[in-house]
Amino acid sequence: MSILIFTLQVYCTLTIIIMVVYMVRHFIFTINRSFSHQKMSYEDILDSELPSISILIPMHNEEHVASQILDKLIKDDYKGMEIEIIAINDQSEDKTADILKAYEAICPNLRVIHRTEGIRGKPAALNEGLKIAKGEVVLVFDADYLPPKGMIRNLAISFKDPEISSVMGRVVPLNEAKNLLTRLIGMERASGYQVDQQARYNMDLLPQYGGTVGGFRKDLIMKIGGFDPTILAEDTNLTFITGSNGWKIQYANSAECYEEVPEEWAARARQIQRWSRGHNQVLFNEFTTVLSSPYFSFIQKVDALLLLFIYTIPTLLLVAMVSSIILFFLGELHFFLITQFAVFMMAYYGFGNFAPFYQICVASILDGDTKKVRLIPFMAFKFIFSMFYSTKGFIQAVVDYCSSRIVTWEKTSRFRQSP
Amino acid sequence: MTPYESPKGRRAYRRLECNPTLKIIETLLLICFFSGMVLYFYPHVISIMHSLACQALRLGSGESIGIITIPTKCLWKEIESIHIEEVETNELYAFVIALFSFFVAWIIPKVKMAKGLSMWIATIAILTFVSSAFFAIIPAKFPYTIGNFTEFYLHAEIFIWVTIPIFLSLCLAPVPTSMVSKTLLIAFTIAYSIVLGICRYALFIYVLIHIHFLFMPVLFFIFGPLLDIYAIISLYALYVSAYSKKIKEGFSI
Repeated sequence: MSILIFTLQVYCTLTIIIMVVYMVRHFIFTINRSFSHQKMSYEDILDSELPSISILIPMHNEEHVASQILDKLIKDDYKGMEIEIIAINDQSEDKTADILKAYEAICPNLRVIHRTEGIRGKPAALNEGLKIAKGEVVLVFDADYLPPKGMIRNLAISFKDPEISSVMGRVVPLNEAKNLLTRLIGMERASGYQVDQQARYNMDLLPQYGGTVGGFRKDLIMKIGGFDPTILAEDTNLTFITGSNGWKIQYANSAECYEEVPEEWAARARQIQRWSRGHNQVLFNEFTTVLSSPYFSFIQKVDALLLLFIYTIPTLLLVAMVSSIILFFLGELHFFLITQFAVFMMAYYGFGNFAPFYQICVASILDGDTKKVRLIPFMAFKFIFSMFYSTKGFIQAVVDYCSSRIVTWEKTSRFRQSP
Repeated sequence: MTPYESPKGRRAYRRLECNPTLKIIETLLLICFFSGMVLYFYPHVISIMHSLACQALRLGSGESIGIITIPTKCLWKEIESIHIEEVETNELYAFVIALFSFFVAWIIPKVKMAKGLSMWIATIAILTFVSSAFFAIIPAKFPYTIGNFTEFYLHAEIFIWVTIPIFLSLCLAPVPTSMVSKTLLIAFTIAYSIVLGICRYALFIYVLIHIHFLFMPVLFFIFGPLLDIYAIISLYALYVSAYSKKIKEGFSI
C-alpha cells in the first residue's frame, strides 16, 4: 500500500510541476504579446513577382458551404499572380459534386478531383490534390472558410523568403455570436492566435502551421513523400517535420480568415477528440526527431516539446485528479489537500481549456472585444469536457500506435445553410 | 488601399502601453502588501470564522451539540478548528445515495443539455457514488474525523487568501488600469473569499453532521478551493470588462 501511495504522490507532484511550467510559459507569452515589439509578417512587401499558387480545398459533404468559399476565392484580386484552385471532392454523398461541376464549367482556373475510393480524410485528399498541383506554393483552405480579399497575396508573399517552409494565418470564428459554446470557442481562438501564435513568432519559437488559412512549398512536401493519410493532424506533423529540419514557419497575424466553429457540444467533442488523437499521433512519431534536432536552440526545443505535449496534458491531469481521489480515501488528506488544490488551481490557471484565462483576457483587450471577457467564468464548463475528450483522443492515438489500424477521419459538422 | 497593400487589421500588431520598471514595482508592491496583510491578520480572521461557525451550528443544531475546539498550527501561528466527536454514519442512507448517484451518473449523459454542464453533474455524481459506496461497504475504514476536515479546510482557505494577491497581481500586470483600481479589486476579492469561506465553513460542518459524512469528498473537491478559484476568476473577468473603455484608450500601434 505504501508503494501505491508513494507512486501516486510522486505522480501528482510531477503533474503540478508540469502545470506550473505551462502556466509560466503562457504567462511569458501573454507579457510578450502585451508589451514587446511585435514582429510583423511580410504583408508590406510590394513585389510583383510572386510564386505560382495552387489552392487546395478538400471537401467531404460540403454542399452547404462549397459555393461560398469558391465565390470568395474566384473573386479575390490576384494582381497578376498565377493561381489555380483545386477542389477535391472526397467521397461526398451529398450535392457537393454537382456544385463543383457547375463551378468548373464557369471558372477556368478551377480544377476538380472526384475521389471515390481509398482512405477518406484530409491528408489523403491533399495528396491527391498535390499530384496535379502546378504551383510552387500550395495554400490550403477548409471548405467552411471565407477568405477575405487580399488573403492569397498576404499569405503568398511570405514565400519570397527562402527560409520559410510554411505560412499560417489567423483563424476568426464567423458564427461566434451564435451561442455560449461558439463564444467560448471564439475566446479560445482569439487567445490561441492573437497571443499564443504571435508571441511564439515574436520570440523566434515555433508557430504552428494549422492546416488551413496557410500553405507550404510544394517541393518540400513532395520530398517528404506527401502527407501520411493515417495521421489525423497532418498540419502538426508538417510543423514538427519542417521545424526539426531547420525550416521556418511564418505566422501572419494580419491574414485573418473566417471559419465556422461548432455550434453543438457533440460536434465540438468530436473535433477535440480528433485534434487530440492526431496531435498525440505526431507526438509518438516525432518526439525523438524534435529532441535530437540540431536546428533548434535549447529554448526552442523546450517550447517545441511543450507544444508537442499540449494534448497529452489533459490526460495527465485527469489521471492526477483520479489519483487525488484515491489518495483521499487512503487517508492521505494532508498530502492530498495540497495536491488536489494545486492540481485544480494550476490546471485552471495554467492550462484550463487550452488557454489560460489571463491570456484570453489580453487577447480580448487587443481585439477590442472586452465585453466578452465576462464570459470567462463559463470556461469552467469546457474544463472537464475538454479533458475528457482529449483523453479519449489520447487513448485512440495509443491504440493507433500499437495496432497500426486504419484511421477514419471524422469531419466536423457544418451548421451554415446554403445561400 | 494601394494595389499591393494587404488588408491588414490594425489589431494584428497592437500592443499595450507599459513602463516595465513601474509595472514590476506595482506588481511587487501589490503582492507584498496584500500577502503581508493576510499573513498578519489570518489568525484574527480564523478566530472570527470559528466563533461565527460555532454560533451558527448551535443555532442550527441546538445547544446540546458537543463542539470541541482544537488548537492547530498553521504556518507559524496557532488557529482554532472545530471538532465534533459523535457523528453517526448510516449505511442504509449511504446505500440509497450510492444507487441514486449511480443513476444520475448513468442518466445525465442521455439528457439533452449542454455537455459542458452535464459532465460536471456526472463528475459530482461519480464522486458521490464512490464515497457513498465506501460508506455503504466499509464505513469504519473512513480515515477522517470532523476535526481533520475543519483543520484542512482552514489550511486551504488560508493558502487561498495568501495566494490571491500573488495570482491576481500577476494576472493584472498586463491590464492597463490604475494601481488604485487593482488594489480595490484584490482587497474586494480577499474580502469576498473570506465571507464565502466563513459561510461554507459552517454549512459544510452542518452537512457533515446532520446529513452524512459521505459528502466530505464532494464538499472538498468541488465546493472547496475550486469554488474560490471560480470566484476569483469571475471577479477578475468582471473587472477587466468594466474597465474596457479605459483599456481601449491605452492602445498603441
